[in-house]
Amino acid sequence: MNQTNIGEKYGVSQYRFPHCYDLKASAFTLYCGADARTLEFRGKTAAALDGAERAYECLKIEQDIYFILLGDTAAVLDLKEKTAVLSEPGGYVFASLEKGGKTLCFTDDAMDGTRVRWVFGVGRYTDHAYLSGGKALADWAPGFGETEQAMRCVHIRDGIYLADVRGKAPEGSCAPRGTDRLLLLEDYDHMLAVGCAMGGGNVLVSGYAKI
Amino acid sequence: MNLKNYPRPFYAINQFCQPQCTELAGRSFYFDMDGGYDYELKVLTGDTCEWNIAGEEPKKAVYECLKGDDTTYMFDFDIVGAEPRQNFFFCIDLEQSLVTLVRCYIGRNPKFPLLVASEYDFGAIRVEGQPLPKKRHCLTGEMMGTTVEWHWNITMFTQHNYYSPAYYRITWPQYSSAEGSISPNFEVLAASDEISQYVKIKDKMYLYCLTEEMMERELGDSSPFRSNNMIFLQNYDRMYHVGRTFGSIMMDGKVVPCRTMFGSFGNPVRLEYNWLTAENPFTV
Repeated sequence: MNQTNIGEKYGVSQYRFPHCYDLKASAFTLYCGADARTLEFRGKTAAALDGAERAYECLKIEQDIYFILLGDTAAVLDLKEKTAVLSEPGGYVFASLEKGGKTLCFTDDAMDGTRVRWVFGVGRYTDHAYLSGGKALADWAPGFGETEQAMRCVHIRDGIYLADVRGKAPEGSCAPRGTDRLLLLEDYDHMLAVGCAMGGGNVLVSGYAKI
Repeated sequence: MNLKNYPRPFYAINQFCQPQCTELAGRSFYFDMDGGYDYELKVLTGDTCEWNIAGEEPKKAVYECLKGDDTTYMFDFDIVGAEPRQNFFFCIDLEQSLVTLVRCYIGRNPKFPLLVASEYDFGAIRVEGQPLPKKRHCLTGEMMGTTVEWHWNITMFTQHNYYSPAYYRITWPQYSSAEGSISPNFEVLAASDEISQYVKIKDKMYLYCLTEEMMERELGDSSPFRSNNMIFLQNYDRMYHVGRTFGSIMMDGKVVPCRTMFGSFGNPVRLEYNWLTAENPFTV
């Protein structure tokens, strides 16, 4: 029997990698200026941010670099470089995993000129063209025409970038209905990405690049 | 920076490989095997382990591990000091407490010393307080009829036809970079059919195992590929796979070990009827 399928039940999350449980039973202090936040992974699915327990899902993009979704908050942890990025409803927090350590910052023009298609499933993809000045052109499969959207970028490590593209996905596209933001941790060495389509239920995604 | 120009190294089938899975570090397993020799496995760190046949002294190894889904792992290592080389591939299925072991050996065939020979053993994982499962992973014909296109890197994809419990065949369109990179080796063969085995892990998940045996028999040292054994842990629910190669390759006129971890993304594909139904010239 032909075992292939087009992943209708998964939609844009069809190619999502297996969940990563590396962080289970580990805890981190996130130092950001005078503040210290805590992030504790209590099991495979339960975490606590500043003591408040919530469900989490984790995907790994590179050895020691993790994308974590905690409800309406996303986090990127780089355990090698000891940096953390929190994207919360109120904004971004850049932190170090060691006191006095280095923190990351926005590097909005770092991907300027890059045009890439991220394929998340059979016939499901988004097209991005990153521009200078915090903008990007974006489209979703099956193709509705590119629209200009706001974009922020954080250079995580060599070849690895966090891209935050904000704009409504067209009705009838492969994105979950209501999607108005795509947060992607992009690896330009292996040409893979993990992340989350947000606004339409916060759906984890993984995929490969066509460039 | 236009990241199309990011200075990435040359990738063949390993570009879309997922990162090494290290979450088994600290865990120990006892595999109760049907073949009569049980195995103990102790995962020490993110890349080192100890293993032994039950009752024997533990041996150290450097392992590679990738996940096929949340609870299914491929755990693979070469046997330290083995000459000719040997490789053990465990498919560890924590959902069903089952395990498959594929032992691969080089040097067993006096006529074709680089040919990789494989032995399959099925078993269960002992879990304290639970009876050993009666079920097993098993050889299967369930995948027959599957045609799938696998995307290995940003330019290369191949199309597989799983049509026989003992063989598969491969092709690619001219606009895949496979046309330039691996095509010459296949063009001199009577067909691309190659020796295969299929193991069912669970619904929609299979171990697909191929050995480049016909290529080694037919081409020998006129091909750079010298009998690689490739094992794919294929997830047809999500339409991706992870896997590894174990074998040899020619480089600068010398035979060197070929060990690669890989991964790729799949989609259904419709292939030409004549190609799908062509006779396998290597069988009666």
